[in-house]
Amino acid sequence: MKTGIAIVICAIMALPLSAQKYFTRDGKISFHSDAPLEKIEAHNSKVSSVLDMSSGDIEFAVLIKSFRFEKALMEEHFNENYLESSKYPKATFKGKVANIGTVDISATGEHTVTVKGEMTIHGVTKPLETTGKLKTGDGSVRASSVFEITVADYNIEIPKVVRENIARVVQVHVEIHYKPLEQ
Amino acid sequence: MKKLILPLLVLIAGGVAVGYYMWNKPPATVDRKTPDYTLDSQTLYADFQKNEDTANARYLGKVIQVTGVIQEIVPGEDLRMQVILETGDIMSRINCVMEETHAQFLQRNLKKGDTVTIKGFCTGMLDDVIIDRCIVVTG
Repeated sequence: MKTGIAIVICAIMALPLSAQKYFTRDGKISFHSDAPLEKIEAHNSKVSSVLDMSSGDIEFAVLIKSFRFEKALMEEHFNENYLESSKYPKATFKGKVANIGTVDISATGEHTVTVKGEMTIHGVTKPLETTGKLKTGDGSVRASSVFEITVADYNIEIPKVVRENIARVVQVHVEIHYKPLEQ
Repeated sequence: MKKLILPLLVLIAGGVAVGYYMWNKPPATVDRKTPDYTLDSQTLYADFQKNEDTANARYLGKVIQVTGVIQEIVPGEDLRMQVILETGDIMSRINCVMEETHAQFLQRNLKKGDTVTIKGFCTGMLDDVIIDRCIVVTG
């Protein structure tokens, strides 16, 4: 009997603190290209992301074909020529929020944080560091960040013909409403 | 020579109009397209679970007509309604992002447990298999 209880207690203590993990399947990422001839923007509202509020680990995954553009031609070129989404269907980010311990999940507040990790786009992985905001309160976490990506860093080739239509550096906006992960 | 000027101008004007249309036309919608694949939610789920690369090669970017039981109806962050179809796996479902808003979709009186057939473009799998720009075919 005593051995049985001891085993159960050990098993419970071994369980991860899942209450600290936050998750979404509906994160929003948009990017903006401001070039001499044209302003292009695309939106993706099906970003998957997990944020561990105890370790600071943060991960994103986004399907390239879920980006929506205003114009068919831009969407086709983006998928077929620039990002080759049939070959590389996803973009991912794996990193860590620095100083996550300073963010009190139970209090209402807004915190500026630094996120460091690796971004993989078009099959190319590059380090990425940026700042972001974490808003806590009401049991959820709202994260937002704006950063820039140099298109050529990810071996994305823009043909000379549309060179003046697409910026070399693209602005990325991330907006995620994380909710506790039920396990 | 003079006789040719008018038809030539019409041709050029036509060309410019077509070019303008092609440059500015919005992305394709699924309603008039014949499905590349017609299948049920369990089969689609199983194909992605078995081998994601093979499933991507087959389904990515294609018009999929999928039939399944509604597990959940969820408003999306961009206001489009999402219909989640059962696969038997709570972590990985078929997530259909509808072209309709919450208000439009609610008029259909579809609810959890109903069987529905939906057509859209497959954009791949994250945890759910995602079918985008969807319309309801029957339900």
